[in-house]
Amino acid sequence: MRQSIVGKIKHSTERFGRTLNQARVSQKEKSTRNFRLRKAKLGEVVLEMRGITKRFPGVLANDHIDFDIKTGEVHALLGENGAGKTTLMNILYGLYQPDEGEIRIRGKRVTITSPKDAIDLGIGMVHQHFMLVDPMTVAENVVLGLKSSREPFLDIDRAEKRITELSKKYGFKVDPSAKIEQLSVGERQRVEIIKALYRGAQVLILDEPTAVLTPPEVKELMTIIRRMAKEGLAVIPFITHKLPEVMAISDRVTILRRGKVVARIETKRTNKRDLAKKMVGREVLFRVKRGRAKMGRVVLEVKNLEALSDRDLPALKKVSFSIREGEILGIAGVSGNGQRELAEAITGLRRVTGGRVYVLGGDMTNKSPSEFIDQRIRYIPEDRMKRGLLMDFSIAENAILKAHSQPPFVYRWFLPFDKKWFLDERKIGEHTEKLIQEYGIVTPSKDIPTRNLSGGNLQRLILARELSQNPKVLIANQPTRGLDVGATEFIRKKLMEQKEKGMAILLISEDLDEIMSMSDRIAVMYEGKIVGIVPADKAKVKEIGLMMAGAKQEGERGH
Amino acid sequence: MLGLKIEKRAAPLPWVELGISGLSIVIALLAGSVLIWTQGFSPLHIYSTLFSGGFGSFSAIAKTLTKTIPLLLIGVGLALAFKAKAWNIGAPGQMIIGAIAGTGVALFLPFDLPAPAHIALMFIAGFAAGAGLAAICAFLNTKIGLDMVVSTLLLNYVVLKLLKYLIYGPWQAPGWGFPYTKELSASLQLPTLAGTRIHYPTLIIGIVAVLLIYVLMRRTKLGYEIRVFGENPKAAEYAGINSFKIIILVMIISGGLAGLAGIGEVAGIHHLLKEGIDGSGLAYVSSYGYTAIIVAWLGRRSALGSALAAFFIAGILVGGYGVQLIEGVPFAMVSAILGLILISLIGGAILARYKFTFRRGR
Repeated sequence: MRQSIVGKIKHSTERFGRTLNQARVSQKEKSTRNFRLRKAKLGEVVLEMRGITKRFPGVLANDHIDFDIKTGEVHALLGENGAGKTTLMNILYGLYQPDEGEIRIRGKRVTITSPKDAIDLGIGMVHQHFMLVDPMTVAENVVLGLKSSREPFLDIDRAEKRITELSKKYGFKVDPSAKIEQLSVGERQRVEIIKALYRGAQVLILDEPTAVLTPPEVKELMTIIRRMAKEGLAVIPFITHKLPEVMAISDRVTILRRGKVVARIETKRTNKRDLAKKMVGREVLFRVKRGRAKMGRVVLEVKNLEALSDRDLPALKKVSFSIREGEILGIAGVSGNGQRELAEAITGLRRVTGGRVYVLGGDMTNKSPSEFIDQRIRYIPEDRMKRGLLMDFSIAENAILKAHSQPPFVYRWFLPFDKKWFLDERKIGEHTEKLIQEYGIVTPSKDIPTRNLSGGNLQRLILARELSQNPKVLIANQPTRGLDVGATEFIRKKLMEQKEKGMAILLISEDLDEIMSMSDRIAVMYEGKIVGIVPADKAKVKEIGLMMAGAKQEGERGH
Repeated sequence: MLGLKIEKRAAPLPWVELGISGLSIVIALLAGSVLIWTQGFSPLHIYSTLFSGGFGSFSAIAKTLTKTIPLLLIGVGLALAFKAKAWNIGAPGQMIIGAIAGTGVALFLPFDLPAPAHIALMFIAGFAAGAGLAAICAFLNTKIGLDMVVSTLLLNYVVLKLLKYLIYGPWQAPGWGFPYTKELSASLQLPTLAGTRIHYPTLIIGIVAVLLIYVLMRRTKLGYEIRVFGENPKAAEYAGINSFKIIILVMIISGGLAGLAGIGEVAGIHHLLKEGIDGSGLAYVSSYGYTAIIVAWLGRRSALGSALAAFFIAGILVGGYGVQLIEGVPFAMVSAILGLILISLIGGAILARYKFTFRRGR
């Protein structure tokens, strides 16, 4: 049965290709057909990359990388941001051409010059950010871009039937006629996987597959991955920092650092600590030691807060909590459950439609962002590039944002009256140099456009800027999302340091590990509500995970 | 099969931008030469007449400088507004309303003032009127979200009708029946450099405006806020920057400068109020207020760049006038070439943000 399905899919993919480019496909057909006809034997090498080298101006992104994967295997690729994972993946998926090296599929040398080539060769990819059309059904999304058997009409029935077959085979639970907008994040990811399988993927690349999932969803995904491997697929998950998951699902791990393979190990012969050490090149603290601080006054208090989303739907429903000096309140939850709206409502960036916001007892409801800034409330937004930074401005210009109208950055210059209208470039420069030093921002100069910084350095810059303004309350929304182990550790340490100095921190994160290890109390958000607030020392991962999925409401309500 | 790949890249360096501007102009001129050629003229000959007519002699430069004055004032104001993404298309109207207000002060002031003070008051009125008109659009934009392109553009027509009403009606000079006001008294006419029509007081105001805006943008916290807002309104909001203040302010400055240009043309060149004081007349297809949009873009929305661009465009206008007279090329051709320059500049600016790589498929 397996052969027939795969065969059919292959057939449709090939036909699609032929209409586009007759000559190209007929040449390729040999390799594809080979690939299709041979029965998948477990343990046979499907994909092999040898000596892959890719240079970018000033960077050796991939330095003679060897990589291979067998059918039925899960071979994780592990590395920090900038280690070369993405480049390697883009080469495999036809987005880049390697400068040196070769790719072989079942021993045959292939050139992959576009994602279409990759798909034709049986390489499928599930991106971290899903590429689905929300108002359309699962089946419609799956056949999007494929030739139908009944051109010019769609053959949704047949597609639905095949999706059901695939689901059965790999143990997904997906309703082909459901609309994407009704699906949870985990279900959407499954649709993406089905999309790849439907196109005949034999090698499946998963880019940071667990980054957006709740703990129960992660578990489910792991089951699916194991099942797919058992059925003979080769699965390559790309992972930046979720080491427990690497340990749980993979058969082998290849670790990249600075463009080179530093280790390739069978998973059962290693452990988390060892992996982290190899990945970062030094010992890593997994859990920042939870600092003890005297809890002071209540700095921020929110009562029955309500606000609308960008689409004018209720996004916050009677949210109440308070934070004291020296306390970290963690907000756990899958993103999209009102976290961004909450952060914006308590920084003046979103209109509050009900309830109150108090800062040190003073009513700040619906005050302007600048009034919140004056109250020394600082915010690390989840959207670093669109909200938090000006990508085409220099690092120095970004380093003074929000403090740009305050001494010492402004001065009188030649004015005969006492108005500090002018920017003091020397002071700004010194300040920026200091931040670059103190926060270990890697950059050739403070004057280059911020666009040139890597993700971790962008976040260091935002953190440096916000902390240098000495806030009373810091709202950190997904402060370590997408960052590598080194940057994550640094940012957590800095936050903990500030807490010990008496800062109140609202830590919003999808990373349950982060929430559990950093917070003093944990609030779980689900569909705009706080379903419960529990002290961290009494919190259990399982319980919180269930609450994140909306399964259970417990704990003290309110605060 | 040829594949084209497009990737976004970091902001280009200033000298690269300058090169791109130059290249854009060259491409526009090449495209324009096709136009000229289809009309049966020699492009090379026409271009050399064009440029020598604009920049080739002392008298050419003098004429060019005369036309530079309004373009400079308006262009630098628009550069500032465009930097804050305030799309002010209303400079023609702001220029005319400035001319009307200034002329009103010149002709109908109910009390006597010494001439310098009177002239100063005319210019203040011109600035205030242009600024006021622009501020209305800014206010409507920030308060009820009325698109500024639409409001500023439509007000141009309203102001033009007002001008017509005045010069055909209550303000018309008695006797002759021409659609003019009477002449400004000689003491209120601006002095010019000997032998030219360069009304230098306005030129000086223009140069001061360029320097002030340069300093504003580069050195002040307000300029920083304007740049932040123009670059990324979401980040500006996050930084507590008041968008209302920014938009109103840049519109007041750009409208006011257009108003100054208006009264400058009246007091310095025409000495009376009539249609065409904004440069739209027989020889010019469109108002300085529209041409200055090209100036601001050619100048990459910077103060100094706009000053240079104003001079360059003025030269093309002057030279184009000569081409029309001497060679019989329709002036529409010159404005078509100006249009081509604008399109290729904007296109060039956008393309410069991306990296293009061609690669061969199999």
